[in-house]
Amino acid sequence: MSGAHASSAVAARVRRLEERLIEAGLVSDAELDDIVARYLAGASPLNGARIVARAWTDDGFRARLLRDANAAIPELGLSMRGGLQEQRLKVVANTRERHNVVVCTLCSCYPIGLLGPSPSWYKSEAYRSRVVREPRAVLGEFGLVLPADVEITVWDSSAESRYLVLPFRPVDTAGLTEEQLAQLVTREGLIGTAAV
Amino acid sequence: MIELPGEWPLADDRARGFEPRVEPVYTVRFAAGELWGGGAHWVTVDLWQSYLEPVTEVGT
Repeated sequence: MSGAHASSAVAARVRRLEERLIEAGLVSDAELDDIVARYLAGASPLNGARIVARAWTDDGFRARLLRDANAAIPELGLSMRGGLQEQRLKVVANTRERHNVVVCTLCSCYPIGLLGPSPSWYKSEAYRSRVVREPRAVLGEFGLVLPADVEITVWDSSAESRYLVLPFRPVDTAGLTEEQLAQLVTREGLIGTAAV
Repeated sequence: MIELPGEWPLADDRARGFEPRVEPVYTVRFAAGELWGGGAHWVTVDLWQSYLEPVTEVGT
């Protein structure tokens, strides 16, 4: 996916902009690399999975997470301060009655620090425009067929806020440790395009 | 309106290089049927105060 991105028209435009800024002496190549490296350091879906596994095993943490995620995730050594400014994080919990799915209709806002770089489909116009109109059909295309009585809520991200889905804990996982539970959680589960 | 997440700088101003106005932001939940004329789901959007109109004005 990163290969496809590097060859895209947007990537070429970004590269040209970088060159102009460097030529003008406003920033150096090394400084730009450093900013990107710092932003991506430790950015992985494993972070989101650890949050979910903790919420599944610790009701107190789950309550704190759903009330104020920015205040809760430092308990796991995580924060939303990886970018230029702290972003607000809201965690939305799936239940038997309600399923949540996240989108950024305007562009590609995404909790990179907790999920790693976003998948290319998340940035596609097709996903962004269709999931708000016909989420059940889109989820079906991802292989997630929800019972008809499960209500779907689509959360549209903004410049200041990011969303993360807390999937429903799978049945028959009572004997698993927090670490084993984290391994069950996928990036798609954290976006809401998979059950877990 | 389901939540008031905070008071945030207006991205429209920031994108144009102004010192951004800081406005209350509301998380607003819309029924899909209201937005698209169909669908049984909900769509929630963070809306800055200046994007919103008082309900009474909409109704007149």
